[in-house]
Amino acid sequence: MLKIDEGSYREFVVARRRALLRTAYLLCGDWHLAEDLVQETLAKLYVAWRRVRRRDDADGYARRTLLNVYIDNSRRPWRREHATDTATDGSRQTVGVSTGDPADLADPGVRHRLLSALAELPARQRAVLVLRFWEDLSVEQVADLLNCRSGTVKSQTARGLDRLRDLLGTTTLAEMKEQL
Amino acid sequence: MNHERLRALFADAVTQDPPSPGLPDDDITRGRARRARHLRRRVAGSGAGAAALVAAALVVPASPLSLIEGERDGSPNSVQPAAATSLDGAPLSPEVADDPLLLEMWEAVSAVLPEDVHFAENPPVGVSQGPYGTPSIVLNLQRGDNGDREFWLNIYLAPARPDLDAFRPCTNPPPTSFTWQEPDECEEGRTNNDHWRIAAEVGTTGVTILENESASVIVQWDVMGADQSAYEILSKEHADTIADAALAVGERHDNDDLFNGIDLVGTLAAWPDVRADVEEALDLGPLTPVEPDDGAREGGVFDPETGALADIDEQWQSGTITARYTTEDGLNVDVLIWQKGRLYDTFCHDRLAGCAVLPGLSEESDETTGYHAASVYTPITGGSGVAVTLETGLSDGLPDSEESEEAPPDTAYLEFENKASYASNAVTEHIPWVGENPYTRADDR
Repeated sequence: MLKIDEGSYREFVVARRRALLRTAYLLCGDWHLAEDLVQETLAKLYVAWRRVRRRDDADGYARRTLLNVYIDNSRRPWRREHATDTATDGSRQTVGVSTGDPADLADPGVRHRLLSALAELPARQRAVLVLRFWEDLSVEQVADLLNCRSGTVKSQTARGLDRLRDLLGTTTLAEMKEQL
Repeated sequence: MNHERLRALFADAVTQDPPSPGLPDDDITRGRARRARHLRRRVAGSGAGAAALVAAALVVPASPLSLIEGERDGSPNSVQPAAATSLDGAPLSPEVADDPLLLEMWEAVSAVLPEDVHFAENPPVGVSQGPYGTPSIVLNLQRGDNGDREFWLNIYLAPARPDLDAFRPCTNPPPTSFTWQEPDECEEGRTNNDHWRIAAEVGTTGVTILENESASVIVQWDVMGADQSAYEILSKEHADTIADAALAVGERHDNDDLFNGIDLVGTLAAWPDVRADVEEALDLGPLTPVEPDDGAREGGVFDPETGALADIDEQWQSGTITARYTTEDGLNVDVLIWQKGRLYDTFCHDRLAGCAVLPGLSEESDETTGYHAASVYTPITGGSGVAVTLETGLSDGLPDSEESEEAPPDTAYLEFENKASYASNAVTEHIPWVGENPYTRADDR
C-alpha cells in the first residue's frame, strides 16, 4: 500500500475505530474480545483498502467484515461465550437483581442484565438486534449484510426481542415488535 | 420501551470504553503484516536453508513432515547440494552448471543485468522451482554502492499458448485473487515486436511476463526488506531487457524442453491407484466416494466408481482432478491435483484455502480455515500441486492470527496433519508424469 493510501486508511481508523469497537462490544459482550475483533477487522480492511476506497464503501466493508469476524469467532469452541447467570436448578430466570424496567439506565444492574441476555442469543440473532437497534440499519440493509432475506431479518428480530424480553423479565420490549 | 429506549440501553452498555483503545499505528502495522502474510513469497534458491522457506510458502498450514529437509529424494523441498561452479566469477549450483538450457538462460540473463548489480556470494545461482517443472533460475543479487540493497530475481521459461492475450490481469483481474486486484502499477499490451507483455509491481514484488508464439517468460523479483518498492530496485525497463534475453533462449527450444510436469490424463486413468495410496497413507479405513455438491462440480466429469471429478484440457495437460471421500468415522477427505495451463495463471479452487498466483507466490484465503481441517498442499512445479485435506473439526490452535495466543495445537489435529502429509507425499511420488516422475523413490522404480 502506498503511503498516501495509508494516510486515508489512518483517517478512517481514527474516525471510526471507537464506533466499531462499541458495535463489537455489543456483539460479543467483552471489551478485550471486542478489541480483538476490531483489530482483525481493521487488518483485513487494510489489505483491501485500495479496492474499498475505489468503491467508496469503507464503512460498509468494515461493518460487514466485523460481522463475519464476529460470527466466525463465535464458532470457535475456545472462545464461545457462556451465560453465567442462570438459575442453579437449571431453569432460566431473570438475570440480575433489578426488577424494574430495563430502560432504567440508572440501575447499574441493567447493563449487566442486558449483556447477559444478549449472550444468550445465537450470534446471528444478536447481530440482527445490534444492527437494527444500535446501528440503526434498515431491515434491507441488515439482510444485505448478513446475506439473507428481509423476512429472515424480521423473524430473527422478533425472536431476538422475545428472547430478550424473557431474559430481562419485562414485557415492555413487546412494544418494539409492533414497530418492525 | 421503543426503538429509542433500546438504543439508549445499548448506549448505556458501551459507556465504559476500554482503558486503552487501540492506536491507528498499531492497526497499520498489523495490516502490513497481514498483507505480507497473504503474499507468501517463495524466496527460493538452491542454497542451504532455502528449502525451509519454500515449504513455508504453502497456501495452507504445512505438515511438519514437509519441512523435513531431504526427506524425499528429489523433492522440491529438499536441500540441493551447494557445490558451486564458477562462471564469470559467479557461483553456480550444480543444477545450473550441468544443465545446458539453464546455462543458456544464465548466460543470457547475466549479460543484460544492470552494471551496478552484484551477485551475493551465497547461495549460488540456482533453480527457482526445484529441479523439475519448467526451466527456471534464481539469482540472489545486491545493488548499490555498498551492495546494501538485496533482491531475488527469478526467471521462468514455459511453453507459449496460442491465445496469448487471454491473460489480462490489469484490466480483467482474476476475481478470486487480490494480488491482481490492487497492484501498485500494472501494464498489459503488445510490444513493438508483437509480444504480449504484462508488467506489474505489487509492493515489494515485481513481475514482467513476456510471451510470443514460441515461448513464455516470467521475470519476478522480490526486494529483501520492506522500505523499497520492486521498481525502485529493478526498473521495469531493466526487467523488460531481462525478459527479452530469456525469451530469446526459449525461442531456440521446443515445448518438450520447456515443459515437464504431471500427466493429468494418465493420473485420471490411474485414479484407483491414487485412491489406494491415499487410503493406505491415511490408515483410516476404506474411503467411500462422495458425490460433489459444491462448486467443484462445475465443469467437471464425475466418476462415482472412483470418486474422481476431472476437468482436464488434454492437449495442454492442464486442469484439475479432485475427489472427496468419507472415512468409516465420517471424516471428509479431499484430494486435489491441479496443473495450470499457463505458469502465470491464478489458480483458486473451492477446496483449496487460497490461490496460487505466480510460481512461488501464493495467497491465503481470507476465510478462516485452519481450525477445522488438516491440510497439506505440496507444490509440484511452478504451476502444479497436490493438496490433501482432512476435515477434522479439530483446532490447529493457530486460527488466522500471527499474534495468536490461543489454545495450543490439538495433538489429535497434529496426527491428522501428519496423515495428510503422508497421503500427499504418496500421491506425489506415484502420479504419472510427462516423462519420468522425479519424485518417485529410487526403490519404487
